[in-house]
Amino acid sequence: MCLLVAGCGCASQPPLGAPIEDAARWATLVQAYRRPEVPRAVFRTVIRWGSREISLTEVVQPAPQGGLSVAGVTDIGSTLYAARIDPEGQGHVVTNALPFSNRWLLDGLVAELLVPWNGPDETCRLYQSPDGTWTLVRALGRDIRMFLFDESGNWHGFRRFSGSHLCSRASLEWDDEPVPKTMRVDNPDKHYRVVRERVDGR
Amino acid sequence: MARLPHCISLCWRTACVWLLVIVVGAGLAKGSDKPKEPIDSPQQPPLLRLLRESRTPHQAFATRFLQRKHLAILDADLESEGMIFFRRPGSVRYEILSPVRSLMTYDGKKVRCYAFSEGQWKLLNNPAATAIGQVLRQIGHWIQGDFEADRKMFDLTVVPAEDGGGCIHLTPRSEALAKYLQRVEIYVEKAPDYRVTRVLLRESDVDLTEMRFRQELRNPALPEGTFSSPEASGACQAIFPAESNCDPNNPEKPKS
Repeated sequence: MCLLVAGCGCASQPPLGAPIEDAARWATLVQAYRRPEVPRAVFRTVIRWGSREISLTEVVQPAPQGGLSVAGVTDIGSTLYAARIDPEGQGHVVTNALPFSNRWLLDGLVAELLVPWNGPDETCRLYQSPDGTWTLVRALGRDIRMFLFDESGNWHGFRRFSGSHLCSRASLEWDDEPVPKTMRVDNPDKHYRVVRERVDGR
Repeated sequence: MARLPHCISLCWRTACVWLLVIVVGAGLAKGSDKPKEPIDSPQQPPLLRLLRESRTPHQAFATRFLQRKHLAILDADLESEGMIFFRRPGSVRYEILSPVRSLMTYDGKKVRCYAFSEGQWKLLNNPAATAIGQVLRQIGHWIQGDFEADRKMFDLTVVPAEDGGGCIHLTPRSEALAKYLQRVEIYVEKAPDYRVTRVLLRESDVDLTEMRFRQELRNPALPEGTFSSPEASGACQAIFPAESNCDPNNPEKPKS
C-alpha cells in the first residue's frame, strides 16, 4: 500500500511511500502505546470557529459494563452531550442537546476527545516520513488514521483522513501522565479548532 | 463551508438547556402569560412573601456555591465550586473556581464570558452571551427571592417545611419547556433569616444539577471590577471569611 494522504486538507503532501518492514521499530512504537487507565479524565475545552468561542467541561470515564462514558457540560452546568462507547468502539448517544446529528457528534467532537484512548494497535503499518520521523497508519477502507511519532518515538500527532481528504488533525502534549496535558484539534472539514486541557486524569 | 459555525451557534443556545429555556422559553409557554396572583397577594403562600421581604433591604449579595452535576451515564458526580455576586437591579458575576476556571459577568450593559485557558484568562466571543446574561440575571433573581419573572412559564407551588422554611417548586407549564427541564426546586431556609440555600434543576428523572449556596454575604463591599473583570477574582474571593466562621455577615458574633 502506497499512501498518498495529505497533511493539510485538500492538497497532497509528499507521499509516505511504501510501508517499512522494520519489525523492531514497529513493535517499539505499537507497544509503547498505553491506553489511559484512569478512573476519570476531565478536560477544560474551548471550541473556536471563526471569531467565536465557547468553553465547556468534558469528561471521559470507564463504564462499569466496559467501554467508556463521555459527557460535555457547559460552564453553567447544563448537559451538552452524553454518549456511551461500547467495548467494541461503537458509540451510542444518550443525550444530544446539539442541533446536529448523533453521527456528527460521535465522529467529530467525541472521536477527537477519545484520540488518546484509541491509539495505534497491531493492525497499523509503519511508514517513514521524508524528515525521518515515523508514522503508524491504520487504514480501513477510505478511513485512514495516522499516528505520528517524533524522533524519540513519542506519539505527538494524529490525522484522520477519508481517502485523501483530511478530516481532522490533532496534536498531543504529554507530561508523563496517562492522559495528554493538552490536545489541540484542527478540523478543517468543519472549520473549527479545539483546545482541551487536562484538569483531572492522573 | 459554514455549516458548523451555524450549528454551534445554535447548539450553544440549546446547550444552556435547562437554564436557558427558563429565560428564552417565554414564547414556548403558550397560553400561560397570565400570571397568577402577585407574590405579595394574601392568596400566595407566606414563604414567598417572607423570603422576598427578608431580601428587600439588601442591594447586593455574594455567595459561594458548590455545583453538583449528576448524570446517569457517569457513575460519579461532577462537582465544581464557585461564587456568585449580585447587585440590584441586575449586575451579576458568576465565577467557577475549580476544577476549571470560568467567569461570566454582566454589568448591566454587557455580558462577558471568560475561560481560563492555557494559563490566562481569555475573553470569549460567545455567540450566546446575551442569553447567558439572561440566565445569570435569573439566578440573581432567585437569590433575591424574586420569582415574578418565572410565573409566566412555571406553575409555582410551595412545600412548607416544619422549621419555617420550605421548597419552591417551579414546574414548566409548557410541554416544550418540560422536555428540557422537569422541575426547578428552590430550597429556602428560615434561620437566621429567609434565604435560598439550594437549587435543584431536574433535567430528567435521574439527571440533575444542584447548587448549594453557602457563606452568603448581604450588602458586601464589592471590589472594583466585580461585574466586569476577571482580575477582580482574587479580591472577590477575599471578601469571604474563613469557612469556620459561623455567620459571615456578623463575624464577631456566632449565630445562635
